[in-house]
Amino acid sequence: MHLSRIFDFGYDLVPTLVASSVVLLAVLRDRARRRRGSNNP
Amino acid sequence: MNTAVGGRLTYVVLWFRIFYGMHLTYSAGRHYLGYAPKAFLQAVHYTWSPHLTHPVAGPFIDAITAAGIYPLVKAIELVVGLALLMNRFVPLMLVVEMPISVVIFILNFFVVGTDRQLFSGPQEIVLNLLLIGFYAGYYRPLLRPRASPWPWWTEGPCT
Repeated sequence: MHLSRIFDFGYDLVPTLVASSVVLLAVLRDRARRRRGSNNP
Repeated sequence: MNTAVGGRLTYVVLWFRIFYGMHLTYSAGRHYLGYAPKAFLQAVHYTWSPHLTHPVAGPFIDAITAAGIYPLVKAIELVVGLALLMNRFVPLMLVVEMPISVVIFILNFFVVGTDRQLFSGPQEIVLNLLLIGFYAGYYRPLLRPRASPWPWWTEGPCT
């Protein structure tokens, strides 16, 4: 069974890439905020 | 009792919300793109969803399209998808999407049952139920076995 017959570019791959990018940005943003917070007590 | 979600679960919920929002927005957008001018569609190599030849699913989709239900379903998908992406009315939107998810699940998994549909049917309902689970606290006030009427113009339930 070939994966291209199960997964779809638009329905699965694009949402995966977008969701992963948004989460990555959120993680980086939160880390930066925590770092700024610890530098300015 | 710990009420702070925080930590990694926040990112997990965010991932699933954005994934489902994009999934629904793409599904609706793909449908509405079909109404664009032909020259544009040829330029972007757009292909309309192939007509379903399945003996049950084909006539079903044809009938709900002829009745105007299919474009309405796509409109709901678009509203729900954009709301999930923008984090607006998420608990309400997940409930609004639920009947559509149930129909997609039954049609894809039990009726059509091709490789793709065996995956996409359960995917639809699992994503919807999973997100409802993540927002379950908002549904608690609805779980009243005996509720008094509470019209929008009164401050509290009628006794």
